[in-house]
Formats: sequence, structure tokens, C-alpha cells
Amino acid sequence: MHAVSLIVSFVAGRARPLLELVAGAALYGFAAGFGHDLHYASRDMVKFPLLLLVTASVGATSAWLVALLLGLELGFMATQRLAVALFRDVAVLLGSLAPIVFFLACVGRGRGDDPRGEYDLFLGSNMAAIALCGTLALLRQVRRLSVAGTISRTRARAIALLWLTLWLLVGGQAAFWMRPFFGYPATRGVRAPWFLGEEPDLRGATNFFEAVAQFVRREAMPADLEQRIGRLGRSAEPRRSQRGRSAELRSRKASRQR
Amino acid sequence: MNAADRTPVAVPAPHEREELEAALRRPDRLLELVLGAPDRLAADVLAGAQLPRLLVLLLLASTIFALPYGCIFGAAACWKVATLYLGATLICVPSLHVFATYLGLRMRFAPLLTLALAIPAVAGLFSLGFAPILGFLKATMSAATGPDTISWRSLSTMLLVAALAAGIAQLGRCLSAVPIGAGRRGLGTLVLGWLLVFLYVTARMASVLELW
Repeated sequence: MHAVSLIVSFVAGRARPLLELVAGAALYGFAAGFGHDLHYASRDMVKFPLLLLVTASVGATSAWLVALLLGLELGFMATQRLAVALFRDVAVLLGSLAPIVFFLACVGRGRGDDPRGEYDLFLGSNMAAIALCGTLALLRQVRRLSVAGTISRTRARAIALLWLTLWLLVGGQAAFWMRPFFGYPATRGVRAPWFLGEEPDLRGATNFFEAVAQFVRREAMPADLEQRIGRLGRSAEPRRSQRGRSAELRSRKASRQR
Repeated sequence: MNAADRTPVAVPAPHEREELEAALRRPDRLLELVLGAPDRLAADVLAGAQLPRLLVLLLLASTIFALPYGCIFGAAACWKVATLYLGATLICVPSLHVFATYLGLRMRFAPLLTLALAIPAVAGLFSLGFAPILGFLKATMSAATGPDTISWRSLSTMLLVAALAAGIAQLGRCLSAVPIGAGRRGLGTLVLGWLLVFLYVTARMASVLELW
């Protein structure tokens, strides 16, 4: 019995940061997705933790090698624990912002019915929240690294910056592939796929790097953006009306049976 | 401060034979040997006792660690990344030796080769680290190419360059760790010039191998 409790406490101790990461990211995901509708909210509850986990695991080996190259003499697992701690911090900080994001989502949903609504404002505030949490977590990570690896602060900073570059590379593409997270107001009611993958965005970018390049080149949004978004919404209409028709048919059938 | 007051540079202990043999059996030890202690690698070169073993280990590391990255280009292309780093180094090392001898740096071929092999070994190791990232990018990005498109292949170029930079940084760390060669400053300048030629050869080889 004692052994079992020992094992349970060991597993719980190891799994705790991971559970905190999932819980924080899921909470934030729900709030962010609610800006669109409940359908997006429930999906984002899964997609946000998945995004963080994919980013952490895909970049794991390179993060360890970078740390080794810069003199952080820690084993693979110890480095991974430090990396997970960073993502856990981001998730917990984002989770704490979930009530605010949820409030903003509700306010945004209540305002106007035009195709874009307050999409840009909501997206911008979420990007600001993610950047703020990421920066705070990174600053804490620098301190953690210099303590754990007994390395200088400058070196710890260099490792943290290289890790950030690696994770931006992976996380950015993962986020692009896992779209949609927020969704234009015009597309409410549309059963969007779980992941849009390589499908071009409104400016034609098929991956994160193209989207960044377009942003850097300051390429203008397409002139017919509003119409395009509107079309996205209208493409849902047949499906919606079909659903409506089938519900009507079901009720007619039921009344005939009665 | 006169010369007698200066503290001598502490030369780290070279690897023991048992340590090198353990690295041959266990990949994690090999990784530690290649990346973990550049000062000890340089001490090995300076001592010269275990050079044949070290050469085999570095050649092995340069080949094996680079295979997974190559596999992402297709099973038939798995050898390409190893060939890129190792091939370019092996092509360029003779010139480094000849120039070093010509300039009176009194360095034998085997120690120079061992030092130079730090580049493909570390670059290969980093390519191993980048392999999951490239695999992920390949899986999530379109294969279509066009004037404005950014494909996983163009990002692979960036990753290969980053791996090569890590290899060159490791060579720099080895050279700065212990006083190798009769004229240390002369060797540093020579290596800098040699690196330019090496980078050009690497770029050409990469285009021949269709890696970028």
C-alpha cells in the first residue's frame, strides 16, 4: 500500500506540470474560442493544449542540443523538465487571463453583425496577451536556467533566446496548421474543419512563414476582403438550411405517426 | 605584469581509452564526447595518444547522426546530409594541412583532421536535433513551389546552415580551449581563411546534392 502511494505521488509529481499546462491552456482556449461560438470554444479547449504540447515535443531534441552547445550541462530529461516548465508558465498565465478574454469575447459577440465584427480587436488583444505571458515566462526561465545549470546570466539569456527562436519556428507553423482558433463573426454556424492545414488564408499564404513574409512586406489585405468573409459565412447557409429542412421533415414525420 | 606572473592556461585532461570505447558502445556518450567538452577534445588533439580512436568516433558521429535528417528527403536520399558535411570537410582538410605547413605552423595531418571533423560531427548532431522539426514542417506544409511560396525545403536550408554554424562554433571552442599549433594566432587566422573556402565548397556541394 505504501509502495502504491509512493508510485502515485511520484507520478503525480512528474505529471503535475503537464496537467497544469493542459488545464491552463484549455481554460484560455475555451475563452478565446468563445469569441466566435461555443463550437469553436469547445474545440479550442483541445487545440490550445495540443498546440503547446506539439511545440514542446517537436523542438525537444534541438532545445537540448542548443543548451548543451552553450554549456548547460544537464541531461535530456532535466532539460525537458525546464522546457515544460516554460510552457506550463505560459499556460498558467494565459489561464489566469481567461476570465478577461471571456469577457472580451462576450462583449465582442454582442457588438454588430458585420462580417468582420470586432475580430481584429479581439485577435490583437489575444496576441498581446500571448506575447505578455510568453515574455514573462521567458524572463523567469532565464533565472531558472542560471540556477539549475549554474551558468552565467548572459549564457542563460542566450539559451532562452535560442529556445524562443526554435519554438517560434515550430509553434508558428503548428498554430497556422491548426487554424481556425478565432474565426470571423461571419462564419458563425459554419462547421469548420478541426484543422485547416495547408489551405490558403485570406491573403493566400499556405504556411506560417509565407504569412510572416506577407506581413513583413506589408502586403495589403485583398480589396474584396469583406466580400470574401461574407462568402465564407454564406457558404454555411445551405448546410444550415439543410439542417433546418431535415429537422422540419423529422417533426412532420413524427406528427404523421402520431 | 611580467610573463612570470601570468597564470598558465589549464589544459584539461584528454579522454581515457575506456571513455572512447564507451562512446563507441553508447550513443549518449558519443554525443557527450562530440558536444559536451570541446576543451577535452582539443586536449586529445594536443596529447595525440588516442587520435585513431577519436577519428573513428568522429567519422561515425558525422555519418550516423546525419542520417535521420537525410531520411526526411526520402529513404534514397538518407546519405546526402552526411555526405554534405563530411564530404566538404574531407575535401578541404588537405588544403588546411598544406597551408599550415607552408606557414610554419608545424601541425601533423591527423590532429588537424580530428579538429576539422568537429564540424561535421556537431553539424550532424544538430541535424539530428532538427530532424523532428523538419519532419513536422514537411508534414504540415504544402509541397507546391512558386515565386512567393516558402516550402519546407527552403526552411531546411536554414536549418542546415544553423547546424553548420553550430559545427563551426564548436571548432572555434576547441581552438580557443588549448594552445594548439606552434603559432596559435597564425592558426586562428589560417582557419578563418580556410572556413571561407570550406563554406563555399559546402554551398556548392549542397546544390549538387540538391539539398538547397
